[in-house]
Amino acid sequence: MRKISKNRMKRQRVIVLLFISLLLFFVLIIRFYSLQIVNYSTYRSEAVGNMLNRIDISAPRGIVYDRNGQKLIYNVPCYNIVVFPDIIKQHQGTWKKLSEITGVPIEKLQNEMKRNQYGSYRPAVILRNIDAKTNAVINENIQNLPGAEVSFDPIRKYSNEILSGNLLGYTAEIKRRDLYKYRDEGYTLGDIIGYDGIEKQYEYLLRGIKGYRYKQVNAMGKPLNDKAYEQTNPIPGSALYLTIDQDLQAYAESLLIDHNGSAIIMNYENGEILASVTSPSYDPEMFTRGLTQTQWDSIVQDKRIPLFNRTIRGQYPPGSIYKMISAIAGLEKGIIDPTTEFECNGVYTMGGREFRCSHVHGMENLDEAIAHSCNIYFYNLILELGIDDWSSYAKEMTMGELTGVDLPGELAGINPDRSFLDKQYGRRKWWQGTWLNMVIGQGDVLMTPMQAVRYTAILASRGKIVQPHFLARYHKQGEKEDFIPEYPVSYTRGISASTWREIEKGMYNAVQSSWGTATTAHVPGLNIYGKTGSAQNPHGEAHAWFIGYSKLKDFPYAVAVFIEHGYSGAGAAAPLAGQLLKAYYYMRDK
Amino acid sequence: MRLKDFFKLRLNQIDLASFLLVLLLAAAGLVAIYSATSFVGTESNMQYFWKQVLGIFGGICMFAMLFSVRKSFLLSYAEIIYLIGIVLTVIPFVLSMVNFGTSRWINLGAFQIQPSEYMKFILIIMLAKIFSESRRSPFQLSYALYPLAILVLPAILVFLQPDLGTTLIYITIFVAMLFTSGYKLYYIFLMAAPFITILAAFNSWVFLVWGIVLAVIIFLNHESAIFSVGMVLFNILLGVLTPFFWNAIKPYQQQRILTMINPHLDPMGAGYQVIQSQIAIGSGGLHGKGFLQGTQAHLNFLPEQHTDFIFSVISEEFGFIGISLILFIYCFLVLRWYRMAITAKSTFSAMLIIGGTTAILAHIFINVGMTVGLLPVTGKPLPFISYGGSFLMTSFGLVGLVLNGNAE
Repeated sequence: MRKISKNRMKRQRVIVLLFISLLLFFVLIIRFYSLQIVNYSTYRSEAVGNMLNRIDISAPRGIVYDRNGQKLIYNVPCYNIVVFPDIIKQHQGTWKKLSEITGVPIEKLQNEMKRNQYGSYRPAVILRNIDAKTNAVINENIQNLPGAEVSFDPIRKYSNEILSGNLLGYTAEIKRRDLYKYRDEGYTLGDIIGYDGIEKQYEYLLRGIKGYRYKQVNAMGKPLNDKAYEQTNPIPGSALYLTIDQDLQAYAESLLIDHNGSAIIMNYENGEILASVTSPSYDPEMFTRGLTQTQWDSIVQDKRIPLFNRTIRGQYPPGSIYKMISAIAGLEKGIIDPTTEFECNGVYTMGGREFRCSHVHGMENLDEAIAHSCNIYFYNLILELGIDDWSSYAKEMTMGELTGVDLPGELAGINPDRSFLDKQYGRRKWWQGTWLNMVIGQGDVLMTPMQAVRYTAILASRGKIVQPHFLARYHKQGEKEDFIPEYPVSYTRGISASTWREIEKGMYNAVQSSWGTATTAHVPGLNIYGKTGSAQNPHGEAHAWFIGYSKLKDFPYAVAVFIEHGYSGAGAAAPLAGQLLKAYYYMRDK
Repeated sequence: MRLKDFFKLRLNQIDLASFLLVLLLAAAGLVAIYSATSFVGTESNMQYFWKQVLGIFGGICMFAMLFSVRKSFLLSYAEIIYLIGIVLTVIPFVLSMVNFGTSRWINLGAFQIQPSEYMKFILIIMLAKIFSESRRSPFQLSYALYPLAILVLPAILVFLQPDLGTTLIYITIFVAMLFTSGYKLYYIFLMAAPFITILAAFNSWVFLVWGIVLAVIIFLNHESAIFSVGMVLFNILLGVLTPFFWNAIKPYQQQRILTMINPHLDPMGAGYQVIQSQIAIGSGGLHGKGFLQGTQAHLNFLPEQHTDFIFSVISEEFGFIGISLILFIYCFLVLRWYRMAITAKSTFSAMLIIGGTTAILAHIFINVGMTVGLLPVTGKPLPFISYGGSFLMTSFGLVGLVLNGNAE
């Protein structure tokens, strides 16, 4: 045993330690005071923010009506099977039962879950749009299907009367690459967005404003109960009233069913489009409900290209319907007058090349040249007129410009001028022979059917330039009055009344004389003016065109019909235009 | 030799106030653990609760052992105990090299032992013996050499495990005992100087000021010229080399060190824990959210809520009032124990008290400082309250050592 020495501890130093420990505890208590008393509210709200998770409630999209108040696009309930990945993981038997009920293989259901899930606590859709019977079976057996649920979602439904996917567009879950593009507008994964047509064009009106509620969650984001805090209800999207007449649209579709082409009928006083058909089209519901691979293949491999909107994106040589441009320019520039005649002997030779006409017309004045659609007359005219005046009058008639129609993706066609030809063929590499092609609407001249109908409207109204449109008005949720959008109107400059008269005369005779090319468009009592076009093209038979309008005071409608490889405007296009105008003439009174 | 020669249980000499307060803290810990391990929607996991109760009994046994062990026995066998302790500390280290497992524990099948915990008692006993028997004057520089060597060996072993928190606790114990044994302050200053130099080296102005202060203090203390100049040069050299060393290590290593100093740099790692802990504490407010009502704790936002961050659970549910009460008890105990060192009958007893109390104080401050975001996240539990049998035994054992020093 050792002897234990006395306490030689330094008393003062222990006291220093005492003070140091006091200081340390003081620091701690001050810190707690600062956290719990001074900054209490900050941390309090952070803790609340931690435990509450915002859950969006999607807003119903706006309903789209036609001009008579018939629903073109509306929402119907759709039942989807969803699974909760965290729960179904522990109940693998559910997969087998679901597969038996729905008849879909287990692997396919599981793959769908992987594709659609984000986070293990959020429900993932495995099967969309189940029928009522399946829904009933699942609801009866819900106790035996842990981890699965039937969810309810509104889905877009498109009128059964018409098949106008290109016009109305479709909706789908936003694609990942678009998510980045529309990030600023508040889209998130899983949101529905309009693709194509009216759905895309008026997405900002149709989408509405999402609502949301808060749910209590744990640190993994798992909701704890169904209690919702602070619910804010969604605001539905605006209702759109289109200028389209559904019955006329359906009729126009039926007229074009066997053709590839386009038909548009428009009020030339105000630009309202009553029917706009591109054929073939597609069923937008296919996209909305999720395309199967077979459906997708059939659409993409279809030689008729149903996804291609010929009305606004098909740029075609307009053929003879373009002849009025040079006629207007020639009259205005004094190159010709109504009595000027050129001789047509069926062929015009220039630089060793032969430019043909459809017939041997003999001596032709302007009126006859338009009604007969004589090429030789216009060859002579353009050679005297020159390309610069010709293209500047074409520009005055809005050729080569977008019509501004309210559909996404419109193309502008081509109004070739000197600088265009220089660019296309090289400086001075082109010759006057190219003019001869262009003046009859071939060669480099391109036009969309939408441009054609506006061109017709300008001719019909003697120079009033309207903007073709589909949206008449829309109704915003919670507002008393409808919004009526204003569309710009302008007028051509430097085209006199006498010029218009002469053009009209030619177009009148084309339809209503016994010797015109467009007599097939004639409808007794409708007083139709028009012009046919048959545009040669390297892909096959000539494209058939007809543009025309009614001069009746209370029936101011212009029509443009385009049939791809229709052989002749008089044969393929003009009769359809006549039937369309006639149909609407009687339909409108109903 | 009989057992009686080694142990003598003097129940009448237990400082009852300390012992009861410690039991009170342990009871508070049970309440907090019950809350921390019960989750919304599930039954409380009573397994933790009962294990902790068991741990408290283990702790009381440890307390009884270290309270009743004779001081004469400790003095006689201190070196042997120390060597055994060192060997045990090396064992998990060797094991980890073999099987790449953790290097803190020795797994004995049914239970594990963590030698670095027992090393705390052993270090206190060994240092108490050295300081109480040293023949050298505390005014000689060499006074600290032997105890320093005793410290450095286990400190390095633990640091390499790596367990920075325990290393800091060893150092704190050592500094407190060295300080109270009367060692010349100037020498303690010299020992601390290199660490300050390294920290100061990251800013040239701070480093300049620190260099001047250092030089002035050194030259005011009339030591031999060579020693003084050497000290200054050593520190300057260290300061100059620090940035080079810092730039030589890999960015992820830098990041790790920076995150250790400031967890907010890494909000999803250790920083996430501290931020969530602060939210828990702050949202508790004055009264707290009430027992079992803490959203941070019950919705799993708090990490390690029944061990390292148990104090955040208490703060959230019992508020500033509850926290003040517990801090007050801790403070009362620490001050009471330090005061015992003054009245202790021998230097050795006083040293045991200083060592034990400092160890507990250091644990409290490191843990609480961590939960409030004042100190880096080192993962040290809170004495008497945190879940864990091993650490309960350490804490109770330290109290045993302290009260043993206080007893006659």
